[in-house]
Amino acid sequence: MTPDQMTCAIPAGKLADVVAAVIATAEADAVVARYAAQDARRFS
Amino acid sequence: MTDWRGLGETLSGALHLATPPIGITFSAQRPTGVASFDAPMSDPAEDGRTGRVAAGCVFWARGAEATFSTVAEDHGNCSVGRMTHGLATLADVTDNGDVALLVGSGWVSPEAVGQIPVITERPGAITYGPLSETPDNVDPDVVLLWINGRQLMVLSDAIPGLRIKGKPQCYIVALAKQDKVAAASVGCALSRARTA
Repeated sequence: MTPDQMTCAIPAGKLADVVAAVIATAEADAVVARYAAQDARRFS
Repeated sequence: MTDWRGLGETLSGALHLATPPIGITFSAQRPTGVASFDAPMSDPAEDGRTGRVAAGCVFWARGAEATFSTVAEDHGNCSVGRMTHGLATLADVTDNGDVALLVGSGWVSPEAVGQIPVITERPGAITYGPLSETPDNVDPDVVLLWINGRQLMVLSDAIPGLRIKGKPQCYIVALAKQDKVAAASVGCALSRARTA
């Protein structure tokens, strides 16, 4: 276990729902991250 | 039949996991066709504890590499892990040297030891392995992920009510198996040393 590692235990019966939610979250995060990166250019 | 391979690969891709998800399966006996974990037993500690690895959390790391089954004696070196995974009761381990050290050092209070979540049904075997390689006759109870801070951020947003816990790390498996709730852990000093 490296210093930056953590763990997460998911009930296997809920994995399909978790996967769907992770995909949706990651997509939203990507939109926000692209916006923030673009916006940050005004400060460089 | 659940598509464990597909779910595991999709989750790995979405989270950009560096280590593939691990399936952990509790059963009455070893599943047919799954290899037994066969590392030699350690020399016994002064109180007689021994096992094939230092602690059950070591199996989480090994389970990323291959599928294998374990039985109670394989987990015998770590009293806390034995307890959280349903392989021993608090009464079974309370006089052990490792528990005495954890309590005596102030790492955990005696009262807190008795409140650690545990699996209540004693398993005959626990199987570990990459989720994407889950055998047809194995149906995992818990999916364990090795994550970093960014991945925890995504999981925290994606899973309402995700619990974020600390020591001892191994009880997140009990929360997922016993209480059917997802739980992350920041790790614990015991596990970090044993899995370094």
